[in-house]
Amino acid sequence: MAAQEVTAQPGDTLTTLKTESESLKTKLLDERAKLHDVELHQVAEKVEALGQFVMKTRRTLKGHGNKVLCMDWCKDKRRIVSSSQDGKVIVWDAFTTNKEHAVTMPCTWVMACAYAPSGCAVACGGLDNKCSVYPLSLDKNENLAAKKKSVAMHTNYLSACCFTNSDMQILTSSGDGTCALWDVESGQMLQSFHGHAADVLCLDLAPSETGNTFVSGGCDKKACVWDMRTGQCVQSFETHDSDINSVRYYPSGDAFASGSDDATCRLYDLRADREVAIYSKESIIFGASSVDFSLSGRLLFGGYNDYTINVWDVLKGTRVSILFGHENRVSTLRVSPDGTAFCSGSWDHTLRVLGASLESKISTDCNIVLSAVEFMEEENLMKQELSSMKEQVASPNTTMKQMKEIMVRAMYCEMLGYDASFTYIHAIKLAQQGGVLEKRVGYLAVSLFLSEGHELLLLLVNTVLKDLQSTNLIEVCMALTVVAQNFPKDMIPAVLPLVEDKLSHPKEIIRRKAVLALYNFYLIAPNQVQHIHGKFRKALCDKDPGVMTSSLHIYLQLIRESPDDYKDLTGSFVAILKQVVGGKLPIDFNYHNVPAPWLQIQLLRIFSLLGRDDQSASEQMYEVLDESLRRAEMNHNITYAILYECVKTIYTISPKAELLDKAVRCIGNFVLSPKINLKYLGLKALTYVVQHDTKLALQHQMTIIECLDHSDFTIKRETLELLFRITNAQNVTVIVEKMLDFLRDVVNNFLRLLAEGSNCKEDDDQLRLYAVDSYLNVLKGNCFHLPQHFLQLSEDQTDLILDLLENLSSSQNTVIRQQAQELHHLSQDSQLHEWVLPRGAPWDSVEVDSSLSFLDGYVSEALAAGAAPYKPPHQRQEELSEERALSLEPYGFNLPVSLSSCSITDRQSPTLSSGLSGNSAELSQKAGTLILEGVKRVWGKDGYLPQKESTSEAAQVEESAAALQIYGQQGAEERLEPPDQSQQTEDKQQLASSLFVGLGAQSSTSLLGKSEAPPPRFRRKPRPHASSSSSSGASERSSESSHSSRSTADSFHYGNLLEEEPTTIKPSSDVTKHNHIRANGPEQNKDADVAVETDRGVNTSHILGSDMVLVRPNTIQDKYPADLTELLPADLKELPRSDVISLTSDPSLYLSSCRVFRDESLLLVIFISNCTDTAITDVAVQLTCEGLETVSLRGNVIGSLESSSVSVCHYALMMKDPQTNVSFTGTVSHQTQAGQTNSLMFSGTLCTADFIRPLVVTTEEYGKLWLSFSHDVKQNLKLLTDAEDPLRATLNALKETLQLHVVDVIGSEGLVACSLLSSAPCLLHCRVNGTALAVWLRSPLPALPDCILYHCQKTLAEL
Amino acid sequence: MIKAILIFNNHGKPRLSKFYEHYTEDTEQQIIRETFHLVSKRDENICNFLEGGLLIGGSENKLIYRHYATLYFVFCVDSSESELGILDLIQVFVETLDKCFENVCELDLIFHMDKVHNILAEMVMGGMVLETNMSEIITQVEAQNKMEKSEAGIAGAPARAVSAVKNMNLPEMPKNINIGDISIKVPNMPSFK
Repeated sequence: MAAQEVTAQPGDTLTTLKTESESLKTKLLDERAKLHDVELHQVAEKVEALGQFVMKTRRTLKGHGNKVLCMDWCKDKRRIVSSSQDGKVIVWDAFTTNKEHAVTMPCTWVMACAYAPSGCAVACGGLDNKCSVYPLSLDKNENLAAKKKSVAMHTNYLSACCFTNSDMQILTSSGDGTCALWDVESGQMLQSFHGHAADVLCLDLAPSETGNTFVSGGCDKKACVWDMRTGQCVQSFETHDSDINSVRYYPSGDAFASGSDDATCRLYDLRADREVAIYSKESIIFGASSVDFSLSGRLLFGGYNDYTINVWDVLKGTRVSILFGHENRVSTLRVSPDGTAFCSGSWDHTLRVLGASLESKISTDCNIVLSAVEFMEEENLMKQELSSMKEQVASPNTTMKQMKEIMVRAMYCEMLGYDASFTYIHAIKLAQQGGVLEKRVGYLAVSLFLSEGHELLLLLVNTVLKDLQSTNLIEVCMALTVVAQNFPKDMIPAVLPLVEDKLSHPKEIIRRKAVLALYNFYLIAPNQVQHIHGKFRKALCDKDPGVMTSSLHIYLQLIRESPDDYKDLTGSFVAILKQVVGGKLPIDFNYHNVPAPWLQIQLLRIFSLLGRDDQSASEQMYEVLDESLRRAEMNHNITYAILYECVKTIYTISPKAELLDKAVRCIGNFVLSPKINLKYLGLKALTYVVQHDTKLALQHQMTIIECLDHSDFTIKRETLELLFRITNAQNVTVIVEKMLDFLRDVVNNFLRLLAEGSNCKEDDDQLRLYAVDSYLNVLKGNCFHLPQHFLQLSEDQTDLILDLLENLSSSQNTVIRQQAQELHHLSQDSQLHEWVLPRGAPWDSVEVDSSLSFLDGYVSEALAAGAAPYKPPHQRQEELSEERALSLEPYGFNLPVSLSSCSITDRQSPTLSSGLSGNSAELSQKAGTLILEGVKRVWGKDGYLPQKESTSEAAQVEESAAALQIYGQQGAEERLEPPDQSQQTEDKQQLASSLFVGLGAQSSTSLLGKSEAPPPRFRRKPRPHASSSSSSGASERSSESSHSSRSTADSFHYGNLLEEEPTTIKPSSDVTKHNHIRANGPEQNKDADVAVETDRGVNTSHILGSDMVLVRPNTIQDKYPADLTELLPADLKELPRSDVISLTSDPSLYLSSCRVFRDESLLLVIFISNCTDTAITDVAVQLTCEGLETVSLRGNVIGSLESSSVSVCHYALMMKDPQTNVSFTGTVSHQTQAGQTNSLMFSGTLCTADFIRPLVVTTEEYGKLWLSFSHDVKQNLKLLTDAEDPLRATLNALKETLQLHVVDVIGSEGLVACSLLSSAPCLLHCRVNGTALAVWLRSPLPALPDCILYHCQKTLAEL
Repeated sequence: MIKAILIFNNHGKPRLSKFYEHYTEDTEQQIIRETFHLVSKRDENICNFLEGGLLIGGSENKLIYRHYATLYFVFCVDSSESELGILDLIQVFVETLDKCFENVCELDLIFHMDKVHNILAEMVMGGMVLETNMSEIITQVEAQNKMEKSEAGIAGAPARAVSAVKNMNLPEMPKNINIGDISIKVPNMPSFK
């Protein structure tokens, strides 16, 4: 160069300089030619030619309104971005052909587009001279244009763009003759590339491994390779005769191809620095607009202006295939990142995705990333290989060594599924005749090729015999290996003695293999090795641990078959494990510092077999099991494997409490482990142990629920298995539902496959036939529902379907019958069938007109003809329920809402109550709510424990004034559930509650053993309507009289609170009030006739003289409070009784009542006071009380009641079915002197507490009783913590209000007993649990514990 | 018992298949394909156990697999094997391969198929775990390799003589375990006839 510069004198003319440069150019060409020693196609001659292959259009993407100009694949192999002359940029899903995004550009002619490597953005540009980047979001509705970012600014049109290997940089080429690298974020130019003399039309980035280069081509017929770091052109090639439309790097990055308007494609090698191949044909006269390589680089796809795509063999330079399809110029073409398909865009406004038709051997599942081309190559290669092998093995000149090589290749072919059966005999020959090395390969080939029954194996017997006797260890080993794997059964006696001899071979490896060989004999012919059991024992005592380990395989099998025969070995196995665990083995047996873990696992399995139902054997194991648990503490997989086996063993052998505890803790660790494998094992262990103790599942409720929704199929299944194990009468519905959900998932996937099919027709038919067949098998048992898509198949498998029809038309289910009918019609009318269910359509593309609008005609016709109008199911049900109101009672949804919320809130399970009220509407529509309801309710007692405790405590704090209880509770509830706490958690908790019902809650209860069977659950019976409605009516009355502003529902529930209210109700005020009511208007007492009658009474009293009336009752009030009880019959006076409370009054009568607690019944005493100064005659009291039994009554008819006198009438009441509150209503009819008959209604509430009597038992009796009761309920109660002895204080408080008997107090536990009158007892076991009192109630009556619990809670809440 | 050991790459190409139960060749190929389908669909962060495909025995058998770079190692086992134990056995197998081939890769499995099978044969024999001790396996395999090298040297010598020489080269590995309190008198066992 220096010399040239010197010669370049200033005086030189332009012409001389031009010649100078020309000569330099030729020099350069010569230099390049020197490197060119051989033509590419010559080199490639030896390469196998590509076979014919077919590519078919798999998808056609339609949607562009004008010529498609550019496209690019997303890295996910699925999405495509394309740009068009209509100014649109569309992102497609190539699988579904759906358009995912569309952007309208401000200009038409969007000539370039590119997908970002992350798949989160696309770049495009064109005649706007800019490159714009649009981030893609998942939200389809979002306006992409709003987030547009203009990155590059050229002075002429943008011809191509391409992201570098990150989303942050973009390369552009432009009509202004430059290329540039831009920073996406800032829009700044990082580097510009000058060198092209005309428009740059295309560019391509080098594959990432090969550095920072890219290649560009342009209208100057030149292709330049640029260094992105320096911005310099490092190589340029100028052999095309016209514009270069497309450049593309070879996959290795060492070469690139170009497509040009001169109708050729060329390949340039960057290492050789020259063009190495031209792809052209005389018949091709139109320019190539686009090129791309197959993934392997063997094929070059070129899109041409003559509407075709030519496929070139890159090496040979020949055209392999020509693809038609587009109806205009092919403008763009890209191979998908996985090489299975390519997409071409054309001026015919469409894009097509073409894929190779794979051989039927390979499934066309989209997940298989397998290049069609590669597969073709492989098959060809294999065929070639096999034929050459065939030749070689047949030739007599092939040496043993060559044969060995052939055999290895044959093994490989066989593994890939190509038949190499001609080598089998040679494999045997090799094993017979070869030296040790060849023999080894021969044996290996035999063991891979020949199965147990293969006839050729007989030829091997002699070889094996010979080798077994060989002095060469390796030969013996090989023979033993082959014997242990596949050996003809009949020949065992021949080799048996030799193998037995090997048990005493000096080398342990031989002994070990001999043991396993014998084991194999035992498996295939147990009779023939009967006599050598003793030798197994010897092997067990072998001084080499390896031999001993091998013998354990045998023992595991033997013991599994008959555990009793080997009990005597228990001690030995224990001794072995003890030594292993104790680290007596040589250090090289350690794996991750665990001594011989696999040996331990094996031994533990043997233990579980030996110790099952065998106390004495188990006792020997306890110590070593404990030791194993203790030692296995390191956090490595293998220790967990041992732990898992330990746990299983501990639960299998006869139990020992201490070990069980430890095992449970282990399981806890497993289940809670973040490692998914351990979680799986934890679930498995749990599944195993819940068979022994269902309560264990309770501790892991939430984990189990989470696992139920786990993305891992295996975990899901295991969870379902676990649920299956804990199924009981209460949760069976929920669990079955879960399982059905799971199955539905499976079935849906299956049907999707069925409906969409694969691409190969033959496969499809087979698959469908198989599917229908298996489906029929399933249906034969029981058919739940026949999915719609099944109909699609009817065409081909008519005979099968007819079978099905027969089956189904006799089905009980109307829906199935209807579908069968449809199916029947369809199968007879193929035209209709085609129309209704187009074949091969994606299964969800079948549109269902859910409004059934096409039936409108029929409907109106039918209506005109007088048919009854259609009623939706819920309406029908409503009507039904109206008709038969009584029958629905057990379903509970007619339950007054307030009742349920009251009882539930008082039981302090906010989650439940909210769930219930939320569900109530839904419940009422579902059949089978009966069980569900029961299930959900029970959760209140023992459901999700950790959450509940805190909420219940807080709830109790919230409870203050009794009147505000409900509001307070609800408020508390809302506060307790933080607003951000997701619905999901709540759902899960509810699910947990319904799943784990009936498993018994507190396994920690120490007093008594486990319950034998999950007890049937208490289901609350709803209050009969009659009583509730009448009581609400009545309560209105009482609220009237008490001037309370409470709502009807409120006063109903807390109706019994009236008891506690001071007797402020004075006739005087009452009358005032009546007047007041009258003044206010009639609507307040419009409800009852009685009220009107009372008013009449008032009227009369007014007539009689209002002044008197005002005074009289006062005197009664003053006069009688103390006296009323005096009026009690003598026999009742001694008995405990409640205060007298007033019931109701009218101007003439004043009613009050008192409860007297008799042992065998409750006496309701009603005092009827005459407030008038005249006698009242014919007084009759009628009491109705549903849910209670009236045993006797006295004094309910009084002939005449003197002025200001009081009559007493009393009812003895019994409670048969425990209910928390019972209301009674009654009427008192009487005649005044005026001869008018008046009646006065009264009502009141009684609660369970009134019917409870202390049950005096001793602690021993208590214990016996406890075990005999089946219904139990657990709940945490408030503990009076401020008291000195909280337990006693609490119990005493309960005792005072509820008449309980405290049997005993032992430490932190208290035993309390009571009974429902003199019949059903109820036992309470109370234990101080932190700041709460854990109460466990048991009773023979299902509802009693709940009622008592309710009152206990109420009592404590009021303290 | 181990029913089958399969290795295939991310594309489902088998790289090693060893069946310890008899299946027809077609079934074997189908099992490989089926297994690949089952295994390849699974995410990286879910558990390594799943139920076997229909062909290999359905729910009675478990597939236990590990995914290393481009290869899936799948063991199909019945209920008598411990899942985690097998999972670690795969680890042992892979580590052994890695030691024997010095950074094992997919190509090693293709070009040294026989060696891989030999290593496997030292670990698992007839479906039973024979040896789990990596150094032991390597010793065995190396002993055989040594034989291979020496054989190349004494190509002409009679096979028997060569093997006699090799026999002497095999290293002794003294190991002892004291199972002292097992006192079994074989002759006195009445239960075996």
